[in-house]
Amino acid sequence: MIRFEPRADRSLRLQPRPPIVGNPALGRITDDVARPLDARPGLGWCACFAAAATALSIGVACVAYEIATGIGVWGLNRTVGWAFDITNFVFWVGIGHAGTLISAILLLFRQRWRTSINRSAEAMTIFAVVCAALFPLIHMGRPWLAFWVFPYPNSRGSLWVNFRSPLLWDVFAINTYMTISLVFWYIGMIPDFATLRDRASAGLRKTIYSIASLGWNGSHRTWSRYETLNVILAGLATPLVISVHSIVSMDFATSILPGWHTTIFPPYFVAGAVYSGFGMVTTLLILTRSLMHLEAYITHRNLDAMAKVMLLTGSMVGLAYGTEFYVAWISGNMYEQATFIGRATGPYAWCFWTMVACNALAPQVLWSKRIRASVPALFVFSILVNVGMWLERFVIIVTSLHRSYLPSSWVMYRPTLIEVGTLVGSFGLFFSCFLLFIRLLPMIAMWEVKGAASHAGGTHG
Amino acid sequence: MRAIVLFIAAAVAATSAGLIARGLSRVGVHQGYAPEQPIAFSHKLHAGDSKVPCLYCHSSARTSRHAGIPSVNVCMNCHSMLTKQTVDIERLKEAVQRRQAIVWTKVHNLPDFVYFNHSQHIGANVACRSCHGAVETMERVRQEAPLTMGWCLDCHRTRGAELQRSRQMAWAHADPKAPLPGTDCGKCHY
Amino acid sequence: MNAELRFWKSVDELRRDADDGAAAGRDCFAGQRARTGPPPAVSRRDFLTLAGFGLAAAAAACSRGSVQKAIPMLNQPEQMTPGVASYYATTCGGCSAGCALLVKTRDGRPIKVEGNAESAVFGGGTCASGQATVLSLYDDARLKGPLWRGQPAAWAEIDAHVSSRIAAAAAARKRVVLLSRTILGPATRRLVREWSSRPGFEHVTRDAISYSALRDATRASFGVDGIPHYRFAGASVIVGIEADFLGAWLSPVEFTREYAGRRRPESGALMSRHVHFESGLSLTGSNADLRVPIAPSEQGLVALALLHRIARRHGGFEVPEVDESSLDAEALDEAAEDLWRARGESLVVAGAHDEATQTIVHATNALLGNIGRTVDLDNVSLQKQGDDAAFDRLVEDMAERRVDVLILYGVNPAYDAPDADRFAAAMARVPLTVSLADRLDETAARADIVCPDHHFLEAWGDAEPIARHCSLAQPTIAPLFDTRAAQESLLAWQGRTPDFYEYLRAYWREALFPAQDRYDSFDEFWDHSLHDGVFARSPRPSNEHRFEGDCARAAASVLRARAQRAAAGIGYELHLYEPVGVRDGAHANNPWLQELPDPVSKVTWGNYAALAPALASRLALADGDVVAIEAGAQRVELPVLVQPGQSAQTISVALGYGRTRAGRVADGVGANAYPLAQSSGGGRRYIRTGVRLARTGRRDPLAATQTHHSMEGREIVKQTTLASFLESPAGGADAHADLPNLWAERPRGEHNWGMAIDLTACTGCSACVTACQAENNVPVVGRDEVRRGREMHWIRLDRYYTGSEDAPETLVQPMMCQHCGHAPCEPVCPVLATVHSSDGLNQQVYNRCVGTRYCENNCPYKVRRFNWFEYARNDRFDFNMNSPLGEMVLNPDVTVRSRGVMEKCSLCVQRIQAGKLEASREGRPVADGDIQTACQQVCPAEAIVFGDLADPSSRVSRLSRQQRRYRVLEEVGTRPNVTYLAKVRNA
Repeated sequence: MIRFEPRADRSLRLQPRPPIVGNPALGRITDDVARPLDARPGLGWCACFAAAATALSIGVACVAYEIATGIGVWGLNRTVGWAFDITNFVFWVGIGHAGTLISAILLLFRQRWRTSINRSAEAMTIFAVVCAALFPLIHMGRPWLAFWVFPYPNSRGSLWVNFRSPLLWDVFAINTYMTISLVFWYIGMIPDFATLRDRASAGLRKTIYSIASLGWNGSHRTWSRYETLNVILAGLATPLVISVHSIVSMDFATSILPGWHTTIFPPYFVAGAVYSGFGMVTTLLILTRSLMHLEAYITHRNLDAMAKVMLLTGSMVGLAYGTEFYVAWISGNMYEQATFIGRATGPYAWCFWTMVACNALAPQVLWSKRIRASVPALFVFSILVNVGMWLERFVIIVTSLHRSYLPSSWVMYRPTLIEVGTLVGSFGLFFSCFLLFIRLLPMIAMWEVKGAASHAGGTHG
Repeated sequence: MRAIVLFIAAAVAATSAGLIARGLSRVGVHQGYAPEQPIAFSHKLHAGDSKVPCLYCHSSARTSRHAGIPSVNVCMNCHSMLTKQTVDIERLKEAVQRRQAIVWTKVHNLPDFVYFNHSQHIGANVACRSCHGAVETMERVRQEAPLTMGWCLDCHRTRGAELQRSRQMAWAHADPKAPLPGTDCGKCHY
Repeated sequence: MNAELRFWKSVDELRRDADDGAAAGRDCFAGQRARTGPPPAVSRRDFLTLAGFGLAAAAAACSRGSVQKAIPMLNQPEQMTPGVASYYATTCGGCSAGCALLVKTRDGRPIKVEGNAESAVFGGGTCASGQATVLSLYDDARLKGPLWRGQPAAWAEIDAHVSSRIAAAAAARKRVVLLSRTILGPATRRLVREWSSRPGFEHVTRDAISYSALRDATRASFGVDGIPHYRFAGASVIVGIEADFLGAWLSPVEFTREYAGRRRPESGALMSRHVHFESGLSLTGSNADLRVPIAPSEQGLVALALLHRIARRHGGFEVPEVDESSLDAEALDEAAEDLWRARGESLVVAGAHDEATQTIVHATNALLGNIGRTVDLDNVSLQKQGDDAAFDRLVEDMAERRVDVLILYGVNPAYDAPDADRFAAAMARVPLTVSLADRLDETAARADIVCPDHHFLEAWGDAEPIARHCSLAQPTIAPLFDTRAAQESLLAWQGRTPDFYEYLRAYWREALFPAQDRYDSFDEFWDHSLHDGVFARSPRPSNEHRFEGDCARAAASVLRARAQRAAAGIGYELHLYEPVGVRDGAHANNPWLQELPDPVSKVTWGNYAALAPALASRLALADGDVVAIEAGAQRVELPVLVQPGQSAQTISVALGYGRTRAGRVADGVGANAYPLAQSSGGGRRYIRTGVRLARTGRRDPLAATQTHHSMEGREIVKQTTLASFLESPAGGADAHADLPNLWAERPRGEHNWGMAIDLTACTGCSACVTACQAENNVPVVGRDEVRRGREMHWIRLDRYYTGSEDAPETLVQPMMCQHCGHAPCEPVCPVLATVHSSDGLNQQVYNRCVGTRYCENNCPYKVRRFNWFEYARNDRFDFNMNSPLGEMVLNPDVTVRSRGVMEKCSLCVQRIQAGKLEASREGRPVADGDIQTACQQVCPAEAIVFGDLADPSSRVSRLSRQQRRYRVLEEVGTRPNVTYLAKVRNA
């Protein structure tokens, strides 16, 4: 029986603080984490899953209709060629960033507090990238020819893809990112699969787990190689965190459109991505820890750390906004200036100011420790982050497009229900996947937590 | 033992992948297509044995994008004189009397987004057989060439280059490094 | 497989009616003369067979896998090769201007019309409506055969019935009346004269939009019967009073050509000056060097004030002083001064439908010595012969049962008469009414018998739009349906052999053959006239015409009208005008014209109530608010358009919309404004005073292709004044040196195709838009899609306003793909669907496009168009591309784009390829001018020049070295191949 020590962290200020509350026995950890996998789903989970599934089916319907009828069912026009579709794409790619950041970069930095959240963060990454990859596909006029964006030998003499096109870079960036994340995620789960295998009674489950665990035997040799492999993968994954969103940002940065054509986009987008990613992780963790009763593992300390990261990246994003305007001002380029004045004062000004409020101003409250410590406050804030970051992409894409060089082509863009439905659907897909994940896979890296816990235990003597 | 298994598996995978790829690359390629025709007209007999030149019947190939299927009056130019009778010639004459056009089945079909002009190629002295094969040996006409874009381009790259050089000499203010007009997408797709 | 299916349809069709039609079909072609050789004998059977070919070729849906059939012609005429176009000269029947045309036919079907350069009057240009006539030929709404009481009937029985009734009427001394539109053809005119010369027979001419006032005034002032032939080419100063002569007035193509000919700044002082007084902002007004908004009721006053000033300078001519408090005296002085300085080579034209005003204008021209120079009274225009008084009398007689047989030819009074209901009622009292309309329109629907006339592209005919300038019309296709030429119907009912071809030949043999001495055999003369299309006799020398009009009376009536207006006091004024495009409504069922943006307002699909910005804001009305316009007992509901330059208290409304029985495209589009016009004193007036305006609270958003009207201080259209241009010819374009560029230069190929567009010559008439649509199979998308900003036109005319919103300057700029040397669209396409060609074109490869729209986003000119839906064969877009008949207009050399692909201007690459092919066949280099793009060929102002920039001596290269040259958004570094020449105003 664990005794909770609410003030544990203060009493241990001078020693390395335990990543988890209390000091559960290792077996206990296994039980806690494995519990959801054995037990029947709780009411809360079912409700959430029902909601997610509904959203997903709405999305499926909308996409089916769009592909059957034509992109015309969206609100796009001759001037605004992208809006919701690419906004959602960039938004989801951004979400994906937290996972790799947490599991790879923080691993390299030996941030032990990450241990209890990295598994779910990685899972989230993968689902987010799946959602993201969906949009470039369905935004095509002829999605059934999407395979033309892959360079493959053909009977056209031979006709290759355009390696100068940022869209093509996206294809490669996303695929690489997806692969590495998957591998990393899976490798990370092997020891836990083994654990589950060992505690599962004979039957289908046991077989599945034993296959999944690739005959893991937990010997010292295995462990040492395993650790090495993890570090190597982390090393490989780290540059991706930077590269993927830099490349995505080049879809805009390499164009000649005022408001897109900016050199600060890569770092600005990466910061934004991490910001939104952590926003989403926070939302999910706060949900799961209450849904799955894992308060002991996903602690205030995790949340606090993530809040700090969001404070940092949020402020970076805010700085980027400022820089954009400053550059437009000193550029002396009338088109550039018109675009940014238009953003702040034009018909879409409300989007812009909401975005500023959510992304640049809101994080500033995180300077206060009390707010960082309050779970409800963080939850609300994390929602704001998601909204703000979605709007950021919308503002960049639509306000730049709808009023560009020739005023004769200036128009307004209004989304249709189909577009909204598609966005809802992508959330549905994401949450459905995530909810299934927390039911079917160990959502906390047991072996890592155990490592952390034993270390903490050690200090206790 | 295990190595052998792995090796065989790999080999199987590789070959099947290759076969699938080949299969996919033939999608929409109708090389060898030789449909039944309403009148069993033999090119072997006309173009081969009696050596009727292609352009006698397909005269519009000289001036038009369509080589054109000869209208019945062209057939009758000879067959009104010839006494030889067969079922098919009967059919032909019947068509004339009933003033009913003959519905042939097209053998060489290009997709509608390809603009091909026979007269252009005749003008460039491209022999009919270089695309249609040895028609004079065919009882029933068969699609000889794959008619894929790559197949077109092979010729456009080689022959096109020669043509280009000759014409450059004729009136050249063009840069020798310039791409071949013959390989512009807009040469055939508009 | 679609192609195949459609194909069989055609064949069935042909099988069904081959036998009855074929014979007639062949006659129809007898003696036809093609520009490209002697006549083919093509029966409808052959035509439809070939149509199959064409359709298969034009069909977009790639039909691989499906078996394709091919049907050769049974008897292929030597002159006719499948896949090779031939050109026939004919005369346009689109409006009564009667332009000479060349018609391009492919595989036996007309697919494009061009102006006939042989015509000294009309030149090689056409107007938008003219371009669209070829689509009207394939209009589903056309009648497929004669109707008797709404039931299909045989020609024979109809003829028997009608002739007997006519005979009976004649015997009983009853009246038989032929009510026709203006008849341009001298042969037809004689036929009608013969017809109406018999006792009891009568012929009344009526134009949908009246020009009687002008005719009457001319008769009264000079004793000349007809409308003066205005020669804008000779005018160095032009003053217009509410006459949209560049848009829809009288003979727009001819006028545009001559007007633009005098708008060449390089010719220095010879560039004409144009002052325009009008109430709504018309195409013509938007081109004026000085435009003065006036109330419609002030037209007469302006004319009088001008005359007054001229008379003062001229002396010896008394004109009463007028109260000019409401007018812009300064502008009037300026105009008068200019006119006086250019005595003899100036011109005043008025569109007023009021005899007094026209008389005063005639007087002014007379005082200025323009008669015989810019106002030709010896070779008058016969383009409008309507006589309102006669029509009013006719309606009287009909109402009083004094008419026994009424034959309606080319008229639709039940729609376009100001008091249509009265006419309809009167019509019901005529025992036998026969309509020759091509469709069951508002009037024909009320007729007992309908004998559909041919479309003019199916018929023989001739025309004499300007006295002594004759042109022939020959069929370019065998009649598609069981129709009969109106003339042949008339002949038949006179008991004569219904063969108009012979009648026409006979007329030319007797009347015109003797008038020439080039050919000694008639057949020779005939063949050549047919081949050239036009036969112009040397114009009559101008002899003395004294002005005998009663100026005092005219002035008095103007002042009276003025007084009445003052008395009427409250209320707004209404100004009805004929729009460019659907014109008087005859073209309403033509989707190309419905989707053609108005040259000034850029609104498509329907008419609207144009309000001045001040008025709109005072009434708190915005674009799209539906208002009710009440004039007398009439009430019409229309959405509002806030129109800069609109005169303060005037509402302008376009005629020609609100058809109810024109066909599925036109019915219910816009509202019919004809009822708002009034018949007064034997003349029709298209202005109204004391009009009330009521808000309905409904909204009906306008489908405009341009919603932002300011250039935002960007130098997109550069303009300057003639004065400053002459002293520093750099004009609006100063930055000439090509800006530095980071990209490597492209290796230059054999050619480098480019274009030069003269913004000074371009009037914005929009003919190029329709021409491009016809040439390149550009789909029609309909009102809702235009509202969503998805029109597909490859070329658009950007229109910007500068200056105050009460009296703005209007700038127009044709904008199409600029074929950038460093095209931003090219690097971003992931699949290389848009690439640069060796000869400087930016090519869009439809079949490679996956539709990411990245190119569209990255195009600074926003000239790319995306296929948001499948526009061909889709019931959601039930326009010409959705019917086998409408599809026949498609150009077989251009792919019909499928859904999900991007498209844009290709600089008519199919024409380039054809031109190159022809040159290489003849073993010569492509010569400058060999290749013309559709927009260039159609342009009556010759504002667009296409050619090879690699050839320094070509016209386009010379123009793009010109002082006025500039490139749009040069600073972005796109290096466009399209050069613009800055706009120069003579102000």
